[in-house]
Amino acid sequence: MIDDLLNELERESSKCISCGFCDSVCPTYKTSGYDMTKTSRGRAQIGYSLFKELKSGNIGINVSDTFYSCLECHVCLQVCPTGVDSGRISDLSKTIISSVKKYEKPEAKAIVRNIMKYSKPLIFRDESYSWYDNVKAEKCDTLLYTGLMYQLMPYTENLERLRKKMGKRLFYAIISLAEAMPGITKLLKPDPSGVKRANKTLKNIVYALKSSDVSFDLLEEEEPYPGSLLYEYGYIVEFREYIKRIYKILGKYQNIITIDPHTYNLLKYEYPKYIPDFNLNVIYYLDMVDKNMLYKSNEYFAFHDPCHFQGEHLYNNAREIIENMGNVSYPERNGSRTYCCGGPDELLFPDISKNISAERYNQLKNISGNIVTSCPICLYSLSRNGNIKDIADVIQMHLKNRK
Amino acid sequence: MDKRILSEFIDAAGDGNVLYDEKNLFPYKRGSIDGMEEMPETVIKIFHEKSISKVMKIAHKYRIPVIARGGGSSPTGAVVPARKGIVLDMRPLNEIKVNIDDGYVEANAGATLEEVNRELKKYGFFFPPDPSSVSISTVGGAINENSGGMRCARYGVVKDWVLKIDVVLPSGDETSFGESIYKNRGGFNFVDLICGSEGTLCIVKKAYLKIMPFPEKITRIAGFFNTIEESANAIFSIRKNGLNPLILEYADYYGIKAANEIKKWNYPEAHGGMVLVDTDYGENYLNKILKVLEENNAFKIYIPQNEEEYNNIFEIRRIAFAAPGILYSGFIDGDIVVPLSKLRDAIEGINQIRMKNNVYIATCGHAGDGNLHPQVGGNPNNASEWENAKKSVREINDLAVRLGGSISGEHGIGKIKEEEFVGQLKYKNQIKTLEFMKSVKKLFDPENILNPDNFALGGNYD
Ligand SMILES: Cc1cc2nc3c(=O)[nH]c(=O)nc-3n(C[C@H](O)[C@H](O)[C@H](O)COP(=O)(O)OP(=O)(O)OC[C@H]3O[C@@H](n4cnc5c(N)ncnc54)[C@H](O)[C@@H]3O)c2cc1C
Ligand code: SF4
Ligand code: SF4
Repeated sequence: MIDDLLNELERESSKCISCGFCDSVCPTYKTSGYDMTKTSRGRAQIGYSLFKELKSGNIGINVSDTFYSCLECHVCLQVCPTGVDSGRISDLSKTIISSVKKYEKPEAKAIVRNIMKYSKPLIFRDESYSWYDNVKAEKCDTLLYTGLMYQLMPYTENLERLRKKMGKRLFYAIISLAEAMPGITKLLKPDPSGVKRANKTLKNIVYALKSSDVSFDLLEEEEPYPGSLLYEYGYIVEFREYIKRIYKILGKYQNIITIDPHTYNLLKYEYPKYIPDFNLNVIYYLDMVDKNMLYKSNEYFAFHDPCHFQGEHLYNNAREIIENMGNVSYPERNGSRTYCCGGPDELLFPDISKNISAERYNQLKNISGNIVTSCPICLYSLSRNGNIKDIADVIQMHLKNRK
Repeated sequence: MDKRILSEFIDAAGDGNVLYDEKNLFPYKRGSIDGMEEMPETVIKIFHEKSISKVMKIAHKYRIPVIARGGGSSPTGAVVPARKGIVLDMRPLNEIKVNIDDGYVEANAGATLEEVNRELKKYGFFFPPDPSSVSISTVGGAINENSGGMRCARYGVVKDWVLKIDVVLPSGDETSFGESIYKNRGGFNFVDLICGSEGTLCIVKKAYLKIMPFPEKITRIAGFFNTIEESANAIFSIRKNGLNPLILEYADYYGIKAANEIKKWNYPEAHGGMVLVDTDYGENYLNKILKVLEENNAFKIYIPQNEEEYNNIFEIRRIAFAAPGILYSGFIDGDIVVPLSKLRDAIEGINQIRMKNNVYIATCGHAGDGNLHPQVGGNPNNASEWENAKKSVREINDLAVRLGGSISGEHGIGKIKEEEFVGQLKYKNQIKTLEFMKSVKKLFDPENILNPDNFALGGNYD
């Protein structure tokens, strides 16, 4: 496998002519204090040098931060004159680094251990399971699969608070402990207001689907995590093993309704690469929402396109729905050139993440204070700066029968 | 670097802004395309204007070579720290203030031209020179390279838009050249001297740039041709007939093919290439331009009707510049400029060199001002292929000089075109220019610490 990865890394990174065009759109450049090792051009150049070093048998310096700080928003690809995707270079480099072991990140290792052991990055507490009280699941061939993203966010919020409170050293000592004893993550409490908000949005998603006459089953407490972080941190061997387990559960259904773009992309595009008999119809819930039941108010919205809406289809559909509910403006960076919310860096590079989310929030705020998005990571990341709505919450307020 | 000297630099530029470990130095070892590289000893990130003079005073005291770096997009080795030393990363210094009343924008050296234009757009104004690298080209870099671009067929190059610059001399002393007023006859024109001086005379800290109101409506037209002769004639006729387009650009077959490949488009891969024209002069001029394209047998003409196509057509030209990068691990940047009447001879001459040497050349350029970028591909690890690429570049440069042109229209000489530059001066009986250049360098930088070995100022070419 490593040879294939190296070949792809060479193909992708050797095309880079170091023109720097991508630095102008890469969110981690300015927000890292103009750190040239944490920008798209740096990733392409260092990726090529990583390839050369590995070919000659060793990695000299620790370059893991270069790749782990990449948000994988793939906007760099849109402006590169030779078609380099530094997001992909980061993907490949992380997989290579994690297989070489030498420069793994301890936080990543702890999270990987948890996922492999508990099918979740952290052990959830009861309050994260209350959103489906009173929801009627129906035994049928369609599963509403949350992917646990909305539920996870309030825990990462508190993790960040802990990091600040303890200071770096103590925090990393605990992380190392968690690496050996993943069970201790049970002690981590979610942020209570975050849980309330997540539960509300999850209920609104259910309501939107039920109002559109969609029937589905639920896995409730048994619902596993889809493995996104294993994939994003480059633990492909573990990812492959893990998703086989998950597929045994999901494979009992024919249709899987996902509710966030990360889980959607993972199931739709990555699972089939590793599961030969993959045969699931992966759906994004907004595609099932009946637009005729929405009414257009005179509200003004600023809409933030999540980066993981990679396919045009997702962009267009979310836009159609929001445009059916009010007057919508988009910031200068939108569509395939959108500007990431910073969320993917929250666990490993909280300062960069905070700066990116503030920058994006201001871009949106400048066009309207009524900001809407449709991804749990964007929702939580941008909410650090002010009020943000999930599209499901806006749908709930714009149902004709409600009016 | 000596720890004591390092701590002096840290005092001058601030903790965390002085980088010296291998990982952080790595991205500063090269500019773009040229393939030249050298690791600096230290990088100093400039966040505050006042740090520059302090840093230069220390560098001057210890005679440490210094190279200012903006976007690092120079394709001629100009930004490569050939003698190691210090790279000053100017990019973080990027404040911009617009002064509509007095008709200029005041921008720090590290601001990119795109950032300057984004700020100006809020007021309905723009800064006309637009290298296709606007997104990365900084005010300091564009001034020091005297950059040109698409709109230069109409508006001229960067030097035509600089009113005043605040600079730090190699000794660390500060001064300004020019005034932030539209006319000024006080003294020699040092602003023009600094424009295009390739970072060898002083560090630009801030510039005061002239601005223009944005044209009201721009129409874009692209014509695709079967033969080089037809496209070259179309370009010449547009100029000769005084149609004064906003941009007049060219991309050959290889450039269009590269854009189609990367973006999965289907634009005609025309053997005579594409001529791209923007006009803001209304219907009458648009019709005249269309007529010229038709008379010269354009087999397909696009007038984009939506934003996507408008941008795509432009993107073809932008991608064409880097076309060899998709196929080869190395390429050599060409930047010749010839008299407009010789443009056809130049394009045809390049074609002949391509066939004779069996080499990959993708040509695009700012055809409206006679500036072509024949980009030659090759693999630097394949000795014969690379030698063939270098030989082809030399032949192309010779061709330009013989046609009454120059080996560089806008990218400069840097560290990779020095010999050919001196050859050009000799051919044209202008070798005195080099003597004067060296005297000027000595006047500004007697210790030779600022970007030494650049712009043919270091070596002995007699
Ligand atoms: C894909 C591509 C397309 C391009 N298209 C064009 C084009 O259309 N037209 C064009 O003219 N050029 C073009 N270029 C060349 C290049 O982008 C321009 O020369 C650009 O203006 C350089 O700006 P920079 O900030 O990147 O400068 P750098 O590369 O960082 O520096 C260039 C030179 O300026 C000096 N310098 C930088 N900042 C300062 C400062 N503050 N004070 C003193 N010296 C300084 C450096 O020492 C160096 O000698 C292109 C390059 C690429 C890679
Ligand atoms: S994927 Fe996004 S964060 Fe990563 S290098 Fe590209 S632009 Fe930067
Ligand atoms: S835009 Fe592409 S070629 Fe240019 S530096 Fe970025 S990755 Fe390299």
